[in-house]
Amino acid sequence: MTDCAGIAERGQCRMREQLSAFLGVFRYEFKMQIRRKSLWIAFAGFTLLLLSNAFTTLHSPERSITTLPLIQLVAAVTLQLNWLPAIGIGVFLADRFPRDRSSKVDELFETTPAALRTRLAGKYFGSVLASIAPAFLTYCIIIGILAFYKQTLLIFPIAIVSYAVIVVPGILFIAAFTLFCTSVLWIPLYQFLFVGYWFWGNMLSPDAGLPTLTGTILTPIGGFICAGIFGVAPMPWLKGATPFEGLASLFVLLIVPLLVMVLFYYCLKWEQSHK
Amino acid sequence: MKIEIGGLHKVYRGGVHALDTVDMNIPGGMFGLLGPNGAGKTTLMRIMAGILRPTSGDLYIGEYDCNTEHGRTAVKRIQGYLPQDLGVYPDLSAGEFLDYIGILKGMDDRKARRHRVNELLEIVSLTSAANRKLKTYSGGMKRRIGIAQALLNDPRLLIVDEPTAGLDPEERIRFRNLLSELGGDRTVLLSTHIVEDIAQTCRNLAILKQGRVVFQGTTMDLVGEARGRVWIVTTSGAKPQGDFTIVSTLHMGTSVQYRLVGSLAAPDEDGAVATEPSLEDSYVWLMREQRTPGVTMASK
Repeated sequence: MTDCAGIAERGQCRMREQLSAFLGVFRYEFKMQIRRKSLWIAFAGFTLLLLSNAFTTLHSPERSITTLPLIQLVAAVTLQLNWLPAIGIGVFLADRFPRDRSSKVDELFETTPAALRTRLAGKYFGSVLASIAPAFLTYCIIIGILAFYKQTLLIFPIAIVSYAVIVVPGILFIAAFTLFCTSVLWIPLYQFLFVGYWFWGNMLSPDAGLPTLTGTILTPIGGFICAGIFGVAPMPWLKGATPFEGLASLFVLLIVPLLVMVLFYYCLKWEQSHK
Repeated sequence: MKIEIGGLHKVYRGGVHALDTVDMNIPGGMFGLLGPNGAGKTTLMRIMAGILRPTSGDLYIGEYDCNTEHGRTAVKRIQGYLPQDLGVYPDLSAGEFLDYIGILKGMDDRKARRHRVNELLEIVSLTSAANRKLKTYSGGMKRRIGIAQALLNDPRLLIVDEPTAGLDPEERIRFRNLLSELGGDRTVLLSTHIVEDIAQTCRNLAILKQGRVVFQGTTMDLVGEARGRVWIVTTSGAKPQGDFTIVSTLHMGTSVQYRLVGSLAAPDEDGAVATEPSLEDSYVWLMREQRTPGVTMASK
């Protein structure tokens, strides 16, 4: 056990204790999420759907995007593949926080020296990584097919960078909101609202006549990052996006979840002291 | 490890007073906390475990002031807590769950943690079920996992809330014996409304009622308070008359034997025989006395 008796060593010791707790929570949150059969079944379905879509695209001369330079091609494919798995990730993350409350494990954890912020961070990153894993596997399969089609292995490092820049920030964004919102909303209601939000805030054209987040740097699907940084705009409303807007979108999609998680932590802390 | 509680108040949202000026000194060893449902036992336990914050008042556990973040964290390192309703992740096995709790308790040496988990699974006789998911466990098995997780860090302070609720008689006895053994070299706080559990394990106890301490002392002190107020009446006629509470009724063919706590209108006419009170009789007597407002007993 961590010995934090010495005054001089206390800070360092406490940090080591919290780091160890973070890694433990991360590992177990990852393990519990990755073991969910429903997660794999849902993503197997998504894979089939996206694969059939990919084959149609590759074999359709009118809609072919394969004439694009390699980097733009991969970025466009990454964005195109993001719309469906991200919904799955949001839906499957929805129960991660409320189940701790309903099963009362949160109270048991509260009696341990592992700090709330440590547990929250471990839960966030562990469950996000596990939820993203099947989506990333789907992505790898499709990128593998594309690599075979284009006869180049260079596609893989480009794909990893594209995924990290276009997909991951949006996932971190929705994951933070999912954890926060499900602390006050009934899970099925949140899941329903989330699917609605996803289509409203990412897929609905700004020209449709309804106010929407689509076409703003807050779009978590990563459209502005794709158009601004990689220079490819698969949706008409992304045309003309500048690199600055792409970077701004990336920054916003990374900073907002951080702020949401900090706010969430303070809300939980307040709730704890006012029970 | 001594625990000192001074003027502890807890008011929940909505104005519910769960604890009202609780003063208590808890010595080392086994200490029982007794009281009816809703007396505030669980609230007090949860405050000590660091789950709840008191509205006001002082709580010192050993040298640590639990009104400070530093004090609370320090206590969490040396305590084990078994809640009334143990929360588990149903999809984890017992071994994994204990490993997880061990990590949160700061046991960062993987080998030592694994060794301790196996040792505790052995103690609670769950080695053969260590790899089974917790959702397949019975209530008794979950209780045993609960005590195992509480003991992981070899705590100097063990807080157990209603540990025997829902257990069969054999398991209850086993559990009580285990707690008694643990109480030898640490402070064990046992909260329950089952008087027998206290009678069999604790020398010192406190009784809570409606958020207030109505008794603190030894079990012998409590028994002494009820001496001369417990009667056995065997009758084949009408029920005896008086201001008493019937503790037990035993049908014996043509007659009925009553065990009563209180005063009889005519003890001689009823053939009442005064008998030595048990802890349960004494508890019943105390609760009766507390119905008269303003009566507080403390034996120190």
